[in-house]
Amino acid sequence: MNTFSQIFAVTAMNLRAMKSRAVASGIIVLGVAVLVAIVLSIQSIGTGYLQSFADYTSSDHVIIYNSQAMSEQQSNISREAALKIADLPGIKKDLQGKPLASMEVSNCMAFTRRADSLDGFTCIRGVSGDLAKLRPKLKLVEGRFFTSGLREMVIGRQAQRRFMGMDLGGKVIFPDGPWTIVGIVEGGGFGEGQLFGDSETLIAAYRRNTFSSVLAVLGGANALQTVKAALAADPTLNVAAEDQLAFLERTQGQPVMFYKIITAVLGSIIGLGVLFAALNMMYAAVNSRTREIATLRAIGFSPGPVVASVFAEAVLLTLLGAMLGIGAARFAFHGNVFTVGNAIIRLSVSPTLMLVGLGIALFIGLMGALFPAIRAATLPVTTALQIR
Amino acid sequence: MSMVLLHNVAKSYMRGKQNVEVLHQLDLDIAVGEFLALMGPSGSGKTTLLNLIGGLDQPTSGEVTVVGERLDKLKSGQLAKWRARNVGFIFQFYNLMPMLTAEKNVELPLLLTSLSSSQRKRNVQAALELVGLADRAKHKPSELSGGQQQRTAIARAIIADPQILICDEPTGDLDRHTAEEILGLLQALNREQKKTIVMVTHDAKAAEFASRTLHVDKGKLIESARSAA
Amino acid sequence: MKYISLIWTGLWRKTLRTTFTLLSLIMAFLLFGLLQSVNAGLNHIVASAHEDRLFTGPRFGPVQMPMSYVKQLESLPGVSLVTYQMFLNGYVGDPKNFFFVGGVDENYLELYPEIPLTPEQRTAFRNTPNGIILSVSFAKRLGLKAGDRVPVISNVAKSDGKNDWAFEVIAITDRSDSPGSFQFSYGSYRFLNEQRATNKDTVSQIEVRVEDKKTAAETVRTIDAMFENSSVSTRSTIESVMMASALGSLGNVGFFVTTIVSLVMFVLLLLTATTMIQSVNERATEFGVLKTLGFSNNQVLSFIFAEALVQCLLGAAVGLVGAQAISPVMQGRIPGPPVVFNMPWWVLMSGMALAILVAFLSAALPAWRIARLQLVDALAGR
Repeated sequence: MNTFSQIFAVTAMNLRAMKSRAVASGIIVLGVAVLVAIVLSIQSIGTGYLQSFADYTSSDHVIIYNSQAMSEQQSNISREAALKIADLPGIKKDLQGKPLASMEVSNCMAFTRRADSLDGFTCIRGVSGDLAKLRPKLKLVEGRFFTSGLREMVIGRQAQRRFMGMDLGGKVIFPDGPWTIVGIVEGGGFGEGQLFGDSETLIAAYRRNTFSSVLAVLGGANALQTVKAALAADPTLNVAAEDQLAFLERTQGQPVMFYKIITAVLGSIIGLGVLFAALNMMYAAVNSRTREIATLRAIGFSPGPVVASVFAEAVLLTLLGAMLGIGAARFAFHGNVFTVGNAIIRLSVSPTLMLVGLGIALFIGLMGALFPAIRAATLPVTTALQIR
Repeated sequence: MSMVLLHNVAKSYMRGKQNVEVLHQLDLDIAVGEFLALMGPSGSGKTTLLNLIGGLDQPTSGEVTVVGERLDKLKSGQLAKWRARNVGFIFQFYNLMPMLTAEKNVELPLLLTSLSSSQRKRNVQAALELVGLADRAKHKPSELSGGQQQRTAIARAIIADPQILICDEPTGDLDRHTAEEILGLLQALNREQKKTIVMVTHDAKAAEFASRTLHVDKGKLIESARSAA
Repeated sequence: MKYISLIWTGLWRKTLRTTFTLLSLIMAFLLFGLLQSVNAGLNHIVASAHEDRLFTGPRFGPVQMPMSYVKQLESLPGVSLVTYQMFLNGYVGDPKNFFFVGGVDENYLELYPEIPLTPEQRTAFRNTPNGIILSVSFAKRLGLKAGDRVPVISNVAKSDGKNDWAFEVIAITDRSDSPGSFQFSYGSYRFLNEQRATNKDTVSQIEVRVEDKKTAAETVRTIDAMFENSSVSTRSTIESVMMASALGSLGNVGFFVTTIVSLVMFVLLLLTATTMIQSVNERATEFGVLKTLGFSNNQVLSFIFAEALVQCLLGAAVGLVGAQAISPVMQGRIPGPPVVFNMPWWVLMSGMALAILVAFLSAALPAWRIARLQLVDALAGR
């Protein structure tokens, strides 16, 4: 018999014997399923958070902000500077020759939550011109876009669900009085939890004379480098340019690291617990078949197929567990709305994350089988056969 | 005076859906101080008989009186207490606790008494000396030979000073020489410590050590000639 | 007591199996301890938040309020203390090393008796214009100790037009009510206000203590109404409400903790139960021998339960002690929302209770089997 048919024969025999160890096998499956489900569901917050940035931004968008500022809210850009920035080389122009740029103001403040009547924070973004122009991923689903110069705003669907009084036709109080909600947008990830209005009208309301940032569409090859070079050439501007997504990740990305650490800590503790359980069960599996294995060895099977069959069993069980865990996390959590700090995101059990789950399961299967397999392979045939 | 008195004892088991009667209307009288050997082929019912005498099992009908107690009337909890006080058991495969040392094994029945730890230790020491195993006290069963294990089991059987010893094939797993040593030990216990002994064996040589031999066949007793001893 | 060696040796019948089961138990209770202490820590912060302390800030985003507001609030009836802060944000060295200082007035610490300072530290703080007081977790994050000079790049410009500030660490202290839970850093308002180029004589946040906490909600409404039509309108909140709302945005931590712990405990229960069943089944003959020797059914059953109990309590104790040992190490090491570790006695007690429950449930099935075991069958190895 060649090695493969030996492995196949032994594994098939083991799988039949597995029926008698249904509970023990079930525990490995369940343990790995719980581990994978927990790891994936916590990490789905971090992944979803990152995804919400990606859903909000465009790869050809650049944000220009005050280089001293640690967040967009702290950044200040004067009108003159903003106009100069919009005209920089590397920034795309529309058919009329006007730069595709938006002078923006971002400000975060507290509103009353529907759920518990307590304060929750969200940001109001002022944009110049069409909201749809630089935020193509936000889709208007109710009402209309705001009109420049009027105290009107468009809100994200998640902001509507989260805060009291935020409905179509509702009013939001600003320093210059009530603003009317004229439209509701959906999609656009991170943006769906925010409010949008006309930036000129907003800075007037705040009685400030500066914008926070300029968001612009890049045009041509190496456009970001061109913009950066142009900014460096004019030190009076004191601003920096960054890819829109990179900027968001850098300034708002702390929760991603937080959930990564939480996942890693919980995952390793539970993972070790499950690994020890798997080792226990695989040792028991090998022990309960000591005679069978010894007999196989005695009649001429080499240790290889026996070892392989132990691995095959462990990996099969853990992969089964992984499927269950991945399935549970995917069906129970994927796409659910979740609040991270002030951001509303959708949990994301992404394909990459599912692969991570599979990898964890595989690791536990291989580790859990290693020592029991060695035991099976090195079992002294003569003593094993004497076991009463 | 009788140590064991069985009257009209029957015992049947459910084996699958079938009711199998193992012992039929059996009478037996064992006197105080006797060393009785029960012989017979496999399935003859000799072990069942031994279990009834040792209070491990109860008859389907009939009376079993051992050390003055009607065992057929006792509940299982009462039987356990009775066994702890009155019977010592010796098995073919020794049935020692594999994780305990010889002295801890011997001490087990004393845990059921109110003896202090130092008293227990003294008694264990004495019992191990009696069976000639004092130097092996700290060894685990796996580190002892078959004969040594059986000596440990005998020490355990006599530690609580029972009146009757129940032996189920005590030499069945031993070589001839060791078997004779063990049987000599049992005989000495019978003669010097006045223990009544009931021993099941299929070895005629072993039965020669007993003072009386009975044959069990198909659930009935057949008296045979008294042995030379 | 005399049965202990019997139970202990029974437990270690299969060294490897018992070791792995114990390790699994330890991991499960480590998780239980860590998660429950995080949950307890958050609840402790909310529970110990004061109901007589109010915060007033600008309603619409980060602008400054004129100093005159402070005077106006001092004249409000029922207000016993008014103090304020100006915020200066920045970083030390790398922009990742976020730094902030709250410039406060001398009476600020009267509002926070839970921040202990020695008289010497108080004097030094008063006499050092650029002196700062840090919380333990804030100092640990930036690796600072008392006496250190801290160069800070800030978004607040000095009157010379530059953004580099230098502070000196006067003292490192902690909130006595929730050690390790808060990151704070206080400096001198007078110094910061003198040095800054713009926004002179404005404050970022006003903090108020009311004489009677029952009037707190009313005072909040009064303050916000006072400034509704002023240049900077305000939004005030009670400390306890603010903490509750911050916890609310963390999501339902309690539910999350309970779900994870129950799932893991369920798997663990199955694991210990299975190993108990294996272990007891292998020893059926031995239990039969014990019964033969005269041990009663109840005694033999109590050995089985005791074995499970010893195993579970041992695992739980090591896990929970481990969690308590790890907690202070984790404190302040996780970036993002505050993760607070606090293991009150009831977490330990409920952990041990859970261990007892797992022990009893996992021993129940094998014990039931042994109870029904026929002696004759057990001795025959059937």
